[in-house]
Amino acid sequence: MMAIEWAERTWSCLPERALWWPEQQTLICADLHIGKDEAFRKAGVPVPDGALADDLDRLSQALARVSARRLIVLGDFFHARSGRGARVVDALSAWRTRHRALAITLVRGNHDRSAGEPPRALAIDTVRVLAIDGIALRHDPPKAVSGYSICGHLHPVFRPPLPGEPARPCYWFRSHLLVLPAFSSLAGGYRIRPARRDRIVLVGPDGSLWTGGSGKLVAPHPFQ
Amino acid sequence: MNACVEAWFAARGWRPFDYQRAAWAAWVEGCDGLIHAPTGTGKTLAALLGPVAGISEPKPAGLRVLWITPLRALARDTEENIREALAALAPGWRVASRTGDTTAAQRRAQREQMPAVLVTTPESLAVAISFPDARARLSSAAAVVVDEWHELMGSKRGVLTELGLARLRAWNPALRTWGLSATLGNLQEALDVLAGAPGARPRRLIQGELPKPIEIETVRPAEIDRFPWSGHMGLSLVREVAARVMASGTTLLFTNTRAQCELWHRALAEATGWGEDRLAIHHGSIDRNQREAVEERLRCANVRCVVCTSSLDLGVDFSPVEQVIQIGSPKGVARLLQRAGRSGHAPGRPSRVLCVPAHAFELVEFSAARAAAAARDAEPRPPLIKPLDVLVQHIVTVALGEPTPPAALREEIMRTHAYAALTDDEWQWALDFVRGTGPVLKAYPDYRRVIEGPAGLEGSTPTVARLHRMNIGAIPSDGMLEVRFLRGGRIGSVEERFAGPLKPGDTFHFAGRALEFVRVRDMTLWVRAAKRVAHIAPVWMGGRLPLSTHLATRVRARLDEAARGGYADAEMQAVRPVLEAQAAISAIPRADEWLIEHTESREGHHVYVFPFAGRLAHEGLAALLAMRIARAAPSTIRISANDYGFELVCSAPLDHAESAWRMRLALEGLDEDLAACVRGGALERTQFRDIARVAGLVFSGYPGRRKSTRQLQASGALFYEVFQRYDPNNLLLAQARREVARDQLQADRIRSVLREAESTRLRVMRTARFSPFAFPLWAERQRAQVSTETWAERLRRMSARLTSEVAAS
Repeated sequence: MMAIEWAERTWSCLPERALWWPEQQTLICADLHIGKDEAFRKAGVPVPDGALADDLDRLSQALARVSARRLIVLGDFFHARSGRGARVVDALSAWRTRHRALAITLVRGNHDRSAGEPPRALAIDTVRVLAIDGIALRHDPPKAVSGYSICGHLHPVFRPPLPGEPARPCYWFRSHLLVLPAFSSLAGGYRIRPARRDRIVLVGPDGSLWTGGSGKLVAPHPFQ
Repeated sequence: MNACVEAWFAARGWRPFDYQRAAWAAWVEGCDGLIHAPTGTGKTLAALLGPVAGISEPKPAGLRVLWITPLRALARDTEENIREALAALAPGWRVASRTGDTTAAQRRAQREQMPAVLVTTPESLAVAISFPDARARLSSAAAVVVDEWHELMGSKRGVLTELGLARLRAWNPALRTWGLSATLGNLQEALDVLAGAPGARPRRLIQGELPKPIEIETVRPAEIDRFPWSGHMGLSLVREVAARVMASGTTLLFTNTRAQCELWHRALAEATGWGEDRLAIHHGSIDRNQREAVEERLRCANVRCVVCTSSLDLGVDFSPVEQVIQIGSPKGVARLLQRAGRSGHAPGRPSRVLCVPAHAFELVEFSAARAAAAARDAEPRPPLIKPLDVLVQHIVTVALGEPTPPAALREEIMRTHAYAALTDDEWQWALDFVRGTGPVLKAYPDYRRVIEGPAGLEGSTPTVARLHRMNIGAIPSDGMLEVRFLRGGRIGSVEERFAGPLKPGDTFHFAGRALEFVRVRDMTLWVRAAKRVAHIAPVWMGGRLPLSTHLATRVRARLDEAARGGYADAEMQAVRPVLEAQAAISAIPRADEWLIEHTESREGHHVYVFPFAGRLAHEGLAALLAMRIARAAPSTIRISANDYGFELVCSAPLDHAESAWRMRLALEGLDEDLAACVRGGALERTQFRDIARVAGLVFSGYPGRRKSTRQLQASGALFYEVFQRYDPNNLLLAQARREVARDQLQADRIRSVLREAESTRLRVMRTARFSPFAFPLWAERQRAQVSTETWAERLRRMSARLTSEVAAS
């Protein structure tokens, strides 16, 4: 877990690609894209199964790490309508049963409009926008700056300046905007170019977290 | 047949070449064949007129000749050539072309009435096969002609062609196959690959008119650098080159990479003062319309000089070209012959090529190439064996076309050269992979591209069919961004990684223009014209060709002569000071020995090894040795490689005894060690991207169709991760590993190099400083470590110091 000061508050970046807001006892993640592999398979693209189980386990692990009582998902819960088959919904229901006490809120994203909202049995509140303690929680970045926002949608990734290293998911802290990495392990990435004052927290392949600014080597911060 | 054809030739004041008559006679005898003839000597007519006259139908009611060409750009030209000949000889025969550029209206017309001759590409043929009416429309062909077969063979597009031909032959066993090829070291094999499993039909290799003799001249710098580094010398010769360009008629100036092409275009524009009206640029990343405009100007002699890459190696006959200039080593004999053949079409005149070295050692390569060209000793091109990604794609293509029993399909596929040794396991895996069946595919619920109906394999859903057809092909095109002006107008495309570090306002040279980067959006790099002078040239992957084994052998022979004091020609004389410095510091390697140099510096313990096996094989060898050394004793090792040898820099001292080198170079354990070098590394990941596209995992789609497939967009890199984690035994991953071993590490070449090393003398030298052979390797590694300015600066300093040390000693 890595603590970062932003918007006059302290946040924790989790290696599971979710953000912990201690003051609010709330875990925030973005871009679940559940059923993406299933949608691919139904269209004839052979993607092996297994990511959903791993992603749900990782979500459980993040929740347990901070003992969260509330989860906010910043959009793109399902990937596509064709990907929400019975196997997927069953797996989700079983997971929900294990986290019965958890309050879950989904801020609608672009995929949620075409893929449809989560089944009612999952007891997930769906909202268009959300603001907590003066911070806007949204799916996509706002067009114009007005106060602080946390969002997803971009799937930010960053390539460490080492030869042969692929890009990795990262948290992208800008002056008034915090972009979360996509939670789904099947989300592609958008290669960001951090500006001079931006900070990033990079999630390594082993779950380690690294931080740094633009242009500088990313210094290791061993995962605690 | 011959009377009519001869009369047509006579009416034009021509006479058929002997080889054209031989090709027509072979058609009458019922042969398959391959015609080997240089460009511009009438090979189109040699292949076409046999079937046209032999079939002798006034107005065919369907397809008779299918003409496959590797480039869409060539299709239009070929169509025109054929139309001209048919208008006089068989006026009832219609010709049309069908490629990715064909409009919907033209397609509809072809659907109603097939032309007698159809010009197409391997990809468009595969798309045609995937439609249910394919058999009705294609099986009436009596002949299929594959143009520029040397260009297709040895690539996955070649395998795609082989599979397409197998399908056509299954429909019509009487179909005859003809190919056209430029110079290759393995023409007989090329014919056998093209014609597939041997049958009753005889095969004939038709040798065209012997190409004209080739004169190779070089530009030699007045003063030679004794410590040459790559790329340093080339541009300093630009005044000389400009003078030759201005003194001649139309010039084709070949460069080896697109970056070099941009650089030379800019330098020549400055040196000649010529504008766009006289000086043009042509390479594969420039927008097609602009390229075609340049080609048209070449044809009608409306341009003085075109700076180009291998993009103009192929096909189209540019008769007005008077002079060919080659910048840098051509790295292979076949390529030099091909390029030289672009000039001097006047009868009796030799083809000439002016070679410009990019560094001093390239003078040795030119000298060696001249000897090889005189002996017509061209490289062979080995055909590809069993790429499973192409197989998977083809099975789906066939199933979409018409229901096909798996056993019959397997038999048909095994009649190709590429899959003649397909095993039961491989076939079963490929079938399971498209049907979503079998124990291996348990991890893929709800997935199937192909189902097994009562009559055999069929496509599963219309969506699958649509996506598959959009994605057919075997050309990797991952991660290209289109370059466009904000105010409209396409300029070309660059690799995504070039755009990565660009910031708004950055300027660069592309397609011969100064451009300013604005932003990247929708897979497009938006630019505006720049006022300031640009300072970056785009970088493209895969431009650097390794030295061919053929040329390398001749380079070693030249060096051997020099070691004995022989400097045979002007090029060797020019490079003599460099080689004498090499002899003073270390030694010039003899043809039967390997030179190994040990040097110490503040950086660590350097070793330089010179097997002369080409850059790719050296990269593999260096990785292999680094791993073996580090395994024996922990050490941090950095590597660099070029065409002559490689460098290892170790943190720990290295035993320089010959026995230690014998151990490091042992053949034993090679396969396991190479596999360990590849597994999980960046090479494997990159290779997998191309395979994922061909096997139908990643949709590149058509521009403008992006929306309909947006929810199915994913990168090859992502698939790599997913397969690694959830299906690590997937055969496509195994194929990626094999392709890396074969293409990137060149496992076969490494094996033969190590085998050769067993019986080769190792000449281990301890040198007090870097030798002229070692210096470029050192420089190459510095380039990877520091930014461009400081790199060039450090290099100049280092080169000056070494030169003064040699002068002092």
